[in-house]
Amino acid sequence: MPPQRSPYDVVVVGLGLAGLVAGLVAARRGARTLVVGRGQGGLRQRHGALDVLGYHRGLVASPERELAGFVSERPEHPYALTGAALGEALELVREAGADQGLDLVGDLGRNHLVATAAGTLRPSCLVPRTMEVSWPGARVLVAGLAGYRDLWPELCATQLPVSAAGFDLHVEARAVSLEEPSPSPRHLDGLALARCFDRADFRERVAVGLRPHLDDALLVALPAALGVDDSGAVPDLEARLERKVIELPSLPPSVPGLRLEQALMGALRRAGGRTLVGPAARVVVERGGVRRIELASSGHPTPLSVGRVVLATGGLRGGGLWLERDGRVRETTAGLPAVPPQGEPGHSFLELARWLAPVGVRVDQRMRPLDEHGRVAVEGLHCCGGLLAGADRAGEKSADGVACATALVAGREATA
Amino acid sequence: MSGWSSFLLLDEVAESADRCIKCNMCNTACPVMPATDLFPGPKYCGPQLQRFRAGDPVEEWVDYCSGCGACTRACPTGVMVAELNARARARIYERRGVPLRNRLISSSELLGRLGAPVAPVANRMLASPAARALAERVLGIAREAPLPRFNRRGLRAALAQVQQPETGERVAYFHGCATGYYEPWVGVAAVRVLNRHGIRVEVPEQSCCGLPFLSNGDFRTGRRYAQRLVRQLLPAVRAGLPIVATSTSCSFALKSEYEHVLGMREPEVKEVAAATRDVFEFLRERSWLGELELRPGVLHRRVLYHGPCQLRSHGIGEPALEVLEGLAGAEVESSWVECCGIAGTYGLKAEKYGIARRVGEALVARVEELRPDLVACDSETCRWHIAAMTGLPVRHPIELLDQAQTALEAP
Ligand SMILES: Cc1cc2nc3c(=O)[nH]c(=O)nc-3n(C[C@H](O)[C@H](O)[C@H](O)COP(=O)(O)OP(=O)(O)OC[C@H]3O[C@@H](n4cnc5c(N)ncnc54)[C@H](O)[C@@H]3O)c2cc1C
Ligand code: SF4
Ligand code: SF4
Repeated sequence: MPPQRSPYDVVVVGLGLAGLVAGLVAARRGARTLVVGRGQGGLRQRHGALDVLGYHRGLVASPERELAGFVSERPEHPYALTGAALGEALELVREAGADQGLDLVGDLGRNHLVATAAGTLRPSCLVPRTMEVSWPGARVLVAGLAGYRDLWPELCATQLPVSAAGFDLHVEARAVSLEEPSPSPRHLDGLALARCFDRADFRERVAVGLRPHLDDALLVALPAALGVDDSGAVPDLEARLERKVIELPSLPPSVPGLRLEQALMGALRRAGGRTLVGPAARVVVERGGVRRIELASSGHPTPLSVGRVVLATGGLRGGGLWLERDGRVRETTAGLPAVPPQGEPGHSFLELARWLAPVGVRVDQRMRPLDEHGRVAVEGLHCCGGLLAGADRAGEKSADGVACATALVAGREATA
Repeated sequence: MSGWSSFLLLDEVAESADRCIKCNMCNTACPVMPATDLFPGPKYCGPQLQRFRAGDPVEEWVDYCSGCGACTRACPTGVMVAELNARARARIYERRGVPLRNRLISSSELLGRLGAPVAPVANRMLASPAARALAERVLGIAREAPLPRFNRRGLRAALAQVQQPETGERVAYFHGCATGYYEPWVGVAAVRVLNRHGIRVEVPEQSCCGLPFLSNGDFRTGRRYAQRLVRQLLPAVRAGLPIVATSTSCSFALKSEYEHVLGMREPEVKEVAAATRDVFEFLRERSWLGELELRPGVLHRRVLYHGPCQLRSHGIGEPALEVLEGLAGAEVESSWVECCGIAGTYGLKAEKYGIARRVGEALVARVEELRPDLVACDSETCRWHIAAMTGLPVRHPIELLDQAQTALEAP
């Protein structure tokens, strides 16, 4: 392959939270940036709130206060490498969201408890305004809609007070199922329902249906599908119902996740970055350095010469890592060394998940990949997000904080 | 999207269905799903129903898939959803027979040839509301759907006027039917731009790529066309010439659909696919390689660039946008919209025209937001549809590049 003039200073691989944040950071620092992904990233699968640190020896009330102790116990954890970047990264996402009309609230100082469609409460840090609730003494009307089966209001209303009691909170909840308006004779997913809520006439009919059931409820909880972009629908419903209205995240596709994705993509494009949804990428490494990137375009690969690469390809679920039958873990895009699972897999699904949780690529403070001897494995490459070793994201509820903080560092390092 | 694994698997497309993790990303990307209740969506029609396709196909609804490919691009695990749908549609028509209407609107080449000598009469007829109403009733071709105008002078006649350079690198131009018969000026612009960069353009004998037959479920005819075109282009490819194309849907057929939709696994098909470049992809690649200096141009216009759905499936980004952005005076914005709705011949059908219009609303909204002077789009049926929806002039980006570079040339 003959040498090429570099069309991009930075290519970020992966369109999940990590890839979008790294791309935004790089583009805002003036780098010609491309963010490319095989398919859409994981944000449309997630709840649209940003988890930072939810559990460590029980519920974490304030990630800020907990983090010092947490990283001293877990020197291998990505948070032990990112320092102040976490707070800055959350602020970056909050501000980028606000700029695109997405209202995210919170900071590292304290966790919010977000109610889900299953009636559980989960700790999260930076949350959409529509999931922010002051729980003590809350009286909730949980409203389901005919045609949308991913919120079963009776289940949610029964479970919510129990979950709240687990956090020493007193919460009351009632359920109502609206037969009218049935938006469609077919089963709707969250996105289809959100498109209904984008229409004022639909919101009015929902409000009419709900009014007789409001009674002493202080909050009305609906599926997290109140409009594809939440700018107008929720305030409008709140005005019609004279109550605070909240969104309950449920099964994918996740509308709040989609809103966050679209906001970050919008911010990235505004900063001059480009996005490309579709082709897989392969990083060609020669003599310990990045030689080029190859996109698996149709017909023939597209080779890109590039200054720096950021890998934000996710973990086992995102496709950045692959588990071989013999238990080894392979990094799929650049052939980097990866930390395999330790000990025995266990028997249950949960044990297996915990066994696999910390696998991934080990990095230094500049997010450069390390080999088993702790030396930089490949120059010109920075890793971030679900790809990194050392975090039990589901157990700690830390996936989004890890993704943003490491992406911020990777984006900066790639433009340093 | 073709991956490196494609050489290993026997049938990459059918087997890709097993990689589905039911994440619904494809459904979130599909532009047709929200536009009609008649279509259950890519996840259901693609990987899910694939398991039940051993016997006789029972489904009809897969025919509502427009083939825009957004699902395949959105899928994080590499399921080739749109390709599965295209194959399923062909199996239905294999059993039921391909309707006359589908065969007719697929025959862009034949129609172009027949229409040319009688262009004025034919155009007057197509513009007549009575004739269109009749065509809708009898044939099921939507009366409002945009159709091209026949052209008495084809591309070859138009190119005879162009004085090409004597020396320089040679490329083979694959123009497609629309440029060959309806809009020869697109081909003239492409040749002029390439010439200006010191590249000589040969136009090998070529027939229709067969894509309209592929998307209308007539694989038998489609395969015949495909085999013929591969035969016609192969000598140029073997002589080391890149195949440069201006129609992004036809070039996508060459690059991907012959293999992934028709299942053609001959090495010749791969050779042609590997040599094929969209014209802007070609210019961009050569300038990246430092082999070509893109000439400056000036275009004092506000342009909305819409990258058509089939171009998006090339997985090369939007090279035309990148080139247009470099023109002095031009304000260029991308539509960021997946599909204009027409998707080749999909929106011509009476039962689908309304869906095509609803899908197109996102693009119309973008036009209203940005208020451009004109729209640029690489695909012919999209151009006709966008022009009909917005009332704006819609040009192939190569026409704009030619115009912009001409403006800077000494008179
Ligand atoms: C399909 C999917 C489903 C998920 N479901 C859930 C869920 O239900 N609950 C939950 O909590 N978390 C889920 N996650 C994981 C969660 O999104 C991540 O743990 C977290 O957000 C980390 O984000 P990330 O940006 O690092 O990676 P991800 O969000 O995983 O994004 C990585 C992206 O990179 C792409 N990619 C990988 N390799 C390549 C390559 N070689 N070339 C180009 N692109 C490549 C992937 O296709 C993917 O789109 C899911 C992720 C995905 C992709
Ligand atoms: S996007 Fe791919 S993996 Fe997800 S449901 Fe669709 S086909 Fe299956
Ligand atoms: S090809 Fe387009 S219309 Fe067909 S299922 Fe996929 S996204 Fe939907």
